[in-house]
Amino acid sequence: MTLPVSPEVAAALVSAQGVTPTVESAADDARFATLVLENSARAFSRLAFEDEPSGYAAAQRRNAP
Amino acid sequence: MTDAEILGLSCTALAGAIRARQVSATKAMEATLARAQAVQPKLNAFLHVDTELALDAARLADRELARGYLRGPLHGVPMAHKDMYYRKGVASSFGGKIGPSRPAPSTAAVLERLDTAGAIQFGVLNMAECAFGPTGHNYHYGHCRNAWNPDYITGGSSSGSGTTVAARANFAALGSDTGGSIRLPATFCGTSGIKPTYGRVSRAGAMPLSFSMDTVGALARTVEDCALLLGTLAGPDARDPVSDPRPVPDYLAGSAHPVAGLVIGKPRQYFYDGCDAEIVALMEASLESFRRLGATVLEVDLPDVDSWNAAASMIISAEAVALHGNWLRTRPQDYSAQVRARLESGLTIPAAAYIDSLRLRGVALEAFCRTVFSKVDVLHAPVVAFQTPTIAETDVGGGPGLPALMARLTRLTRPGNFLGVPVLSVQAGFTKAGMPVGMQLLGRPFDEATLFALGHAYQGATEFHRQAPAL
Repeated sequence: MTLPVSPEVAAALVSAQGVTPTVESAADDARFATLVLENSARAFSRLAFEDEPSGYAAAQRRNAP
Repeated sequence: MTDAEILGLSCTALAGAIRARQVSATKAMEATLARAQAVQPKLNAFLHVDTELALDAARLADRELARGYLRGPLHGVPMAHKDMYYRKGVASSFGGKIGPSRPAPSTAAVLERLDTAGAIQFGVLNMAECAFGPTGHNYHYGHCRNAWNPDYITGGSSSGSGTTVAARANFAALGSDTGGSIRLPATFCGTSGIKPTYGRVSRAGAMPLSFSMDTVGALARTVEDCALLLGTLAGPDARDPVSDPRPVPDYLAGSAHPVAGLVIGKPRQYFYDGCDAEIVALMEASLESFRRLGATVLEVDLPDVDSWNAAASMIISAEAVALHGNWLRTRPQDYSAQVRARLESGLTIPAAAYIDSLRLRGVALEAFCRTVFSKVDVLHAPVVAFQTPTIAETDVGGGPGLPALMARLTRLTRPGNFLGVPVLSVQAGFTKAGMPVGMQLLGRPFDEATLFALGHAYQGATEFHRQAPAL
């Protein structure tokens, strides 16, 4: 279960990294972050403790013909 | 051969005709330049054309052939590419104002390989700004327009590549595909397009967008052309840290392999959710064509593709804003509102979610190969689930409709990038409105050869790829 990212949080994150958001862009940023975090949460919760990014290259090699 | 006959040839056929001295490289270039000039007011597809340089190169190619010297399999073939591949001494625009302010220090690996093969670059093409847009809109250089109907989008980001190849103003073009940027213009403009396996083609000297997902491929009139081009472009390159070392098969010869006995998967989930009825019918018709060619069609279940799409969005957004961060902070006015908004959203992605997205990739690829490729040789699906929209309908700028539009356009293409598998886009017919529709074939990692065999066999049995827009 994830909670929505608020526009205020999105604006704070963007501002803290040196970019000035508008009220509209902060609302869009919040919607985007909420959507992708919500849609990925279940898959992320199933990752094994040992899974790491380099597993991708290994999977490529293993599954090549 | 008349100009119209020359322009109607595929890239492979033109290369053969030049080799056989049936047509000169100069005549082919003159015809191409004239066609480019004629269609430019309607399509806004070329950012720059090097007429004199191109003609000089074509005359040199003819002199070389007269002496018996053949540079390679593309000797004398005219090509133009989206403006994001570095050419030493030249500044690329990246489709916007954020191009490097200094001339490129070296030439892109893919341009070097095309040069070595004998292709002649005659210009650079319009593209989505920073390759970060799936429609073909460009708020700096004007929107690129579809050769089949200039009111409609070309798809992006390789917008100029798709529409010039369709318009017979270009024999083939490089494209880049991070979330669908080859397959979308290929389907909307009615060309063939190959997005290779991640690591198969060097990205050195190609403008980066998302280093974990970027691939360089090609758009061309036919699948056979795509096979010829990938054979030229692919292979190890020390300049690209993720370049794969394995040798490159003879894709062109392999495209002629029989396809009887191959098994084609039709997905039970995701790819047909809410799909337009005309597109469903065209997909069914293409599957029937494959059956007649001796292939078997089998319905297959897919793993959790929705989560892959979200993870892919996070990777692209986070990496894009990391690459563009300095410019976004210091030159925000140099980005269009749309690209600025998309980059900004990447700043909201938590580090752990970005890393989890990368951790998920290998797990997802294993699951996909286990679930799908244990039963079938390729997965067949539509490229988009809806009919080609107009430029006006999708002109959302950086406004509130942007996130939904981006998600809708790339929903069926992005999983291929997340998995990093090869994907071939092939014309599958036309809607009642007269706009092309494409299918995509997804293969095992580094198994482009099977895709080419199926696509080439399909084009041998159908005529869609031979139809040209009436411009």
